Amino acid sequence: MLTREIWFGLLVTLAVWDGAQRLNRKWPTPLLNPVMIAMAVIIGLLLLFRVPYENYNVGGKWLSFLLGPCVVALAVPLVRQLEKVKANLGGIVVSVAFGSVVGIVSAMLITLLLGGDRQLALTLAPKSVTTPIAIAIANQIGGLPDLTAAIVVITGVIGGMLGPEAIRMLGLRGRIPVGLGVGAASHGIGTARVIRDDPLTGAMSGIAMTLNGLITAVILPPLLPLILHLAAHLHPG
Amino acid sequence: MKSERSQHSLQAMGDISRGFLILLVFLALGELLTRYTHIPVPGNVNGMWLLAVAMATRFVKIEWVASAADVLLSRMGLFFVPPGVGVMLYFDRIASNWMPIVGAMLGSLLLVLWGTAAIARLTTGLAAGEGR
Repeated sequence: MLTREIWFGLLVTLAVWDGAQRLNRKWPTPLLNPVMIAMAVIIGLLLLFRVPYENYNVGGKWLSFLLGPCVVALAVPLVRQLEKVKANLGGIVVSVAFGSVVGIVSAMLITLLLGGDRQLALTLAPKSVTTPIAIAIANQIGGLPDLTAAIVVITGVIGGMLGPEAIRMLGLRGRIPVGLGVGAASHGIGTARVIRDDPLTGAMSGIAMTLNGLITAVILPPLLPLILHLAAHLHPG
Repeated sequence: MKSERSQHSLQAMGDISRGFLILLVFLALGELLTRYTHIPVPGNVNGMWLLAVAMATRFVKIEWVASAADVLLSRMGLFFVPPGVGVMLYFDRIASNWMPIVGAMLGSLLLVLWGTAAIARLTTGLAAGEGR
């Protein structure tokens, strides 16, 4: 099968990405986020031509492998902004820790209030953090790790699309708050967007993404009984 | 903002292949750290912190990695596309429970964006005059 060749997934991804970039340059609105457009178009093509995801991903995983060195490369904007990171270290840790707790508690409570079961709540609990950490946490607490991974990606895409706009909508300005908010809420995919807008925002988003992963991994397991207890009171039965 | 970026690219005259080599070395170090310490942190995140410390202490010069890093970071979104397409495998499971999944995803996303940014607004940037 032609679609199982390495070049197939690479060609499709790069061609669609190129188109998405042009579209975004022509109409520079956050709604035309290139990651979202490319994902939607490729999913549409694969479904239309009945190409299984595994075939596409033979080539696709060559690109996803580059996420590894890319995350390591986030050290560069971080060190370029080292003075501002040092000057604001306390505030960075406090705000991301707050965001971590808000993310866990709100994801679980909203799931339960809207009729989801306990396992679905555990699946959504780590949804704000970067995929590998989220999968590990979901495994540990008894969620469904592969569903967690899909939800993490969708969260990231929406946050990358509208995160900065949503923050500014509240009248919150400043590159540090926007960067920290986007990184804490939508991990690498959000970071991928803001790092193209501005280096300081990108650096802050990268820090928030990794810090939120660390904090969530540490506090989620001990926080669980408390949240489930609270949920039982809010929503008996 | 744009000029700051191109200025960085001009300064970054390091060899790209050496930059990639350093990134891969720190990725490998990060993976090793994850494997042998059993901390629940992915190797790439560990590699990032290790490289940041190495550059902050001038053990690794930022110019050595800068151009390779910029090549990767300026198209970071591209690397998320293939795993993103993998979401298609879960459409059925999301659809069968879409109310709580979509509600919790969007509601929690907004609360984290706003909560983090609001606290950050109160606790950062004032001393640095980061007013924009």
